[in-house]
Amino acid sequence: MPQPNPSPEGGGKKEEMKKTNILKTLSIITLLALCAGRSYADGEELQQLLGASVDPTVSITKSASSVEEGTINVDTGVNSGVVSIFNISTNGDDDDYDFYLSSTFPIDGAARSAYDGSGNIIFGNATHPPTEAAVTDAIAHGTNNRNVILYPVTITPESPMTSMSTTHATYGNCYKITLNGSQNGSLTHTVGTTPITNTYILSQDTSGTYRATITLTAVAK
Amino acid sequence: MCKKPKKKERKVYPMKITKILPLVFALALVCPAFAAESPSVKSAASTVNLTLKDYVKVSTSTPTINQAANFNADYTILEIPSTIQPSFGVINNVYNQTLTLTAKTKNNTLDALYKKGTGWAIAFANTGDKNAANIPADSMVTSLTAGAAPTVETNENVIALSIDAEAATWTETLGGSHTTDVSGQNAVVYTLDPGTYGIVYSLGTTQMPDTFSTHDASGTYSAVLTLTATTGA
Repeated sequence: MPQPNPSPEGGGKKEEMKKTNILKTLSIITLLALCAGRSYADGEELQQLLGASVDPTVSITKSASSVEEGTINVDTGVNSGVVSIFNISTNGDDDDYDFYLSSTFPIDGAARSAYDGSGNIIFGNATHPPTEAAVTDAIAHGTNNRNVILYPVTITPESPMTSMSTTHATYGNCYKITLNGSQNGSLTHTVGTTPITNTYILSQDTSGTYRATITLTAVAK
Repeated sequence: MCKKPKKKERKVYPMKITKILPLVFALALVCPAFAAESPSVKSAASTVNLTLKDYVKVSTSTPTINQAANFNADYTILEIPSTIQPSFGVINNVYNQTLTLTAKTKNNTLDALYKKGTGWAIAFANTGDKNAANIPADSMVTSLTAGAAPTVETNENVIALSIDAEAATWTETLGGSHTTDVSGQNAVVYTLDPGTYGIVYSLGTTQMPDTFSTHDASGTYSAVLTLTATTGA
């Protein structure tokens, strides 16, 4: 039986169909690859992608158990105790993120870290911010440091996390937190109650609110 | 004979980019990794506030000063053997803390501090310790403290001494500084920054003009000087 010759018109349709199918396939592959945040060129790699690859993500929240309001005994400078607690949740690890605990305080001058680099945290008067000279004096435990009070600080990461005092270009004096494999944990930042010597002096430190802001930041690598 | 139904030819349309884009947006909504949100920095902050309450303390190291006054042979000049110097200490942690200096005499009922010309004086009234009849009438005190020109007759049993209410000796430490308001007639108001202060006043060693004469009977004359802290801002 003679085979019908393919007409030139029918061959063109087939070719067009072929092209369209290729285009469709490529579009789907591209979409799926984009969805996973990576580029894959062939079907084999695509299978692996769908089965296992999830980008690292992190959540940092302040715990409702934090105690952020306290009072200072006007005679002694002893505070009633304040604690900031942060919760970290991530599917990543130390290769994915750097965690930094940084701090600021009110100052009449250039912003600087509230950590003094010696294990203390600086509180500044919110209404009458201390001068840079006063802050420098307080860090040196001098006696001319109006509106600045220093308290010791304790960082307690939930095991196996650890913390290490460091200096960072962006955050200044800060603490670097290492997860050590942990994916869910808390970090407790406790301000000691007794002021550092000479940094609280009645009649030099003005009444009002003394403030420090502590921030836990995750920076993707 | 049944004809084999013709396979329906599917129409083929090339997929256009305008159809792909909505799909991309839809995927972005359901697939976080596809979304444009930058996962590079995430943080949480805790602002800690410690409240330090207002504090001001006024004290005196001279709660009572007694002096035996002398006078000249004509009984026209009062002579205080050594300068009377009431002193106060202030510890303050409030900006714009006001302190008011006042004085009372005649059992704390009448103003004793008064402005006289460019200076200030304090009126001492006979306490009547020798004779109750020597307690001055109110007008004898007020005639002086209102600031009018006195005569010895109008201030019987009242003697006035100058006091450096405006220019007292202030010792200011821990950043203390103050301003003085002398606009009142019977009070001086100081406004203080936080700091620690020592204030020493000095009284004259003889009477203000026309306030001492034989109209002033012997006995004890007294006045009470008070420094009071009022509301800070």
